Amino acid sequence: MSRETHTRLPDDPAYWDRLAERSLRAAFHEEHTPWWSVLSDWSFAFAASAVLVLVGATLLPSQRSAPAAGDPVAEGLLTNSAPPAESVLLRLLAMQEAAR
Amino acid sequence: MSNESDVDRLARRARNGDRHAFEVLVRRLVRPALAAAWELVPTREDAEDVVQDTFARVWRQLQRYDTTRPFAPWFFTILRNVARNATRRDRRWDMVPLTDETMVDDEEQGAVDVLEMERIQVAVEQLSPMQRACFRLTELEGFSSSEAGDMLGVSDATVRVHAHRAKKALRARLREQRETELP
Repeated sequence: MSRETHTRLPDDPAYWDRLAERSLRAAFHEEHTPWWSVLSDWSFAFAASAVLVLVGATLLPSQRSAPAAGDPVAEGLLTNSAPPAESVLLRLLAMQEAAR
Repeated sequence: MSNESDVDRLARRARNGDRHAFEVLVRRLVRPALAAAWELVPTREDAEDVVQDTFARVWRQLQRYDTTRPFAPWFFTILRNVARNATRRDRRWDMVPLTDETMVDDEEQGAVDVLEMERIQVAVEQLSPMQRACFRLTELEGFSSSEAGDMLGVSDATVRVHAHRAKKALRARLREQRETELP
């Protein structure tokens, strides 16, 4: 019984070259895999959920504390000063003007 | 695989970051790796995937290889783990309890020659996984019992025993087949 006659393994040397090349590519390619690509889909889903929760947690309190139009307390605040964001913008614009 | 110390030397160089040594090592081990993988997964394509993943994992984990020990057993342990993860058929490698049937008759060496290969292929599939693997690797693929032992994670004596039992079982099955075919 000769091995060549009965082996299941391919006899073609090119086949072994291809399999070796494929294995080497896999080995050396994985070595340079960027860190973010090793994160699984679940990790991405978890990260996305966490971002959504954080954004939600940040926005909700500010919406709740935003003054409603016609509210006497709010009107008092609005007349006393501009909203903080606007004030900052105005200050920045004024600084730019001064710089020119 | 034919020269163990050569493989060990290549593995040591590869462990030190020598890519060329690793390439030579891959080319040296790719054939026994596929033979071993094919005993664990059903198709050649699956076995090729196992081989590829094994070499990738070996390259990543080479720092864990203890260079004072032979490389082949360590390598094939990783290969079997990769195959096991791929198939999730852990029970496949449950060992058949060994008896004191450790000696192989000289007559057995030539016994396979007289068997018809087409019938053998059918009968081989009916063997237990370990008998099938030992028979294929040593009798059909031409690996030594020591090499097959490394591939399968057992001693060469165990390989010889299972190959011997496989031949015995095959002979009995083929005899049955011939008897049933007679008019």
